Amino acid sequence: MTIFKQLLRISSQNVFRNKRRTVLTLLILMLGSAGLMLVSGFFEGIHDSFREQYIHSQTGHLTINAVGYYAKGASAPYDYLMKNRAEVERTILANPHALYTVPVVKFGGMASTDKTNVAVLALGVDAVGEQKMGGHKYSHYKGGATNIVAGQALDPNDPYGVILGQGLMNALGLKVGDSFYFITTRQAGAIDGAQYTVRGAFQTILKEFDDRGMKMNIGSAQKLMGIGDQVHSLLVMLDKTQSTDSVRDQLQQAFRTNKSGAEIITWLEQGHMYRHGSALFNKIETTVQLIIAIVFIFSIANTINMAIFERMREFGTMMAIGNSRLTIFSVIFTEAALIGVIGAGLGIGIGLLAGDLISSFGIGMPPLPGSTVGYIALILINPVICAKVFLLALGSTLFAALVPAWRASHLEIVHALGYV
Amino acid sequence: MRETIIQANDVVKEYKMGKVTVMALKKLNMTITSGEMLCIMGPSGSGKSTLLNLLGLLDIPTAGEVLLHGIPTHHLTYAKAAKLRSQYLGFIFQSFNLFPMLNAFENVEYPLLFLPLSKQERRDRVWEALSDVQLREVALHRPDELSGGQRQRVAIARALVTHPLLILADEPTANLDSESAEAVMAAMHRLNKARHTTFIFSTHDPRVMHHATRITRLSDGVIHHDNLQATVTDLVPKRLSK
Repeated sequence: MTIFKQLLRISSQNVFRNKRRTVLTLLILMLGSAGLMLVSGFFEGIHDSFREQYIHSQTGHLTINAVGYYAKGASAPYDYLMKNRAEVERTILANPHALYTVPVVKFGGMASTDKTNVAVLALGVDAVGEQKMGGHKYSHYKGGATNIVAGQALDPNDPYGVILGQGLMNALGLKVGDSFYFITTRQAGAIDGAQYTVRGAFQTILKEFDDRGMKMNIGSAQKLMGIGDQVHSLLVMLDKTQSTDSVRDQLQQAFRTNKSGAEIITWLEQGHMYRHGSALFNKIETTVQLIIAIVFIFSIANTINMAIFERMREFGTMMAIGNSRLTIFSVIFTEAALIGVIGAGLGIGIGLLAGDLISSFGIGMPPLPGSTVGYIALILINPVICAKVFLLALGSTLFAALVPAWRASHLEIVHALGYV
Repeated sequence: MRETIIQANDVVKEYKMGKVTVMALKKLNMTITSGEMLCIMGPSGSGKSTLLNLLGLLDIPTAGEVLLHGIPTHHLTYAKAAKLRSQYLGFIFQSFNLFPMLNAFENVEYPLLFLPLSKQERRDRVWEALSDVQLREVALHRPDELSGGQRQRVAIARALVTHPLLILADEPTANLDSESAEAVMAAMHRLNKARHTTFIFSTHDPRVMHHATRITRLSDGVIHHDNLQATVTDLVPKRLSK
């Protein structure tokens, strides 16, 4: 312990022997770490925006279906209706993380005007719950997850008022207040339809949905489909996204216990686009990290090499006195570690301040791929990012010190002592 | 009865300089016993530093062997040689080689950090060594705050502090003015007399040779004179002693 303390003391004094060089190295580490924090924070901001908009406009944190609906429901929607909705809902809301549920029925049909027919993906939703979910506000979004871009949201007291995705409304050539016919196949097989009025147009993160999606009151949808009060899904909103997996596990256990016969799909399992986008962003982030790590390694290795050349005779003296190779290696390695810790620590501090500053203004971003909604990006720095940046900076510094430290610890004593 | 501290048997040291092989020491034999103050003199290139490096286990001979306290050293690993150096040997260098970031006390304490001693034992030994070289008052000064003579005396204290069997000094006065050189040699002389510390020092400075109890003259890698209790004037070239 004494030796370690003394080595640490000697190393810490050595670190600032050549102040200009140490400051330069620290600057590289600080700016690199801070830059990395901002890049990672920026990508985290994109992930966060993407994820939360997707959850609040499409799937909820969890989607509870009748068993088999997720895999086969699209081709046979009437075969996978939830018959015990009340019981399932009670089980869900008994979980302390569950805030509310939004019942949904999903079915296909045809929208007709006097000029055109368009295939439509219709969603029967609880108007109040849907507005609560879609209107979920984030400080960094221009609007809610479901933006009403024209007219008004669904009105629970207007059974024939619907809202259309902006793309669908354009395709049908309709505007707010116009009427159109919508026909679908009922559970019994008959074709039925009604005239509906466009109350508004919405925009979500998924352009594909905006081009085909229509939302109507769930009661109207159930009546049109002839399914009574049965639903396809209950979208579950949780207190926070991070609770998703644990709540899924708890609900699965609860459903097994009370034999509810419901399947649980998380937002991530449904979020193919999110997963692909995330994979792309992660690749970009990793590449940036790699580039910064290489810059760290070369600049720090150069600094350490120069320091070792200057102190060659000192290392020779240490060896003559009887220091082991490990001691010499440890001194250099400890010095590098100190530089790494100080540089990374200061870099993280600067990164946090810069991130806060940039986030206070926000960065106006164009729509993500597959989306029509622009958004304000933030720099979201979390403890995981801080830890990753710290480890990368420290790890790069230690890696850079490996070869010089090994070479110094394997100097020939006579050669080192005679070095001028 | 004086015990043998170090013994060199038929020691040869060759250096390769490009395609040329230079023989720095040629089958050299030497025995050093406790309490001696041996001066190795000779012109530049005579092999003084090479001999000290071999005796100090800083280098290994091309042929022959060096026995330290009876221990053959030729096949020692780096770690074992380092351990022997820390236990039995002390070094004084021409350029002092103090650690610039440590003060005098810390420089002297440094070799003790790697020995199994308590903090109090270390402190006692450091103060004792600094007292021996009369530098207690500058204990907290860094090397750049000391004169050349003081730095070399700190180096002597550092060599002394582990209570080594032998202290090797390679031209310890080469970078000092005559007054400082005399002070340094006087300190070594005093320690030799009072504590029976064994010293081997190399020099080509005739002014400091009178401190030696034995003078060995080396030339072209061969011992030309090895006179116990020799007088300086016997060995110093006439023109220098005038």
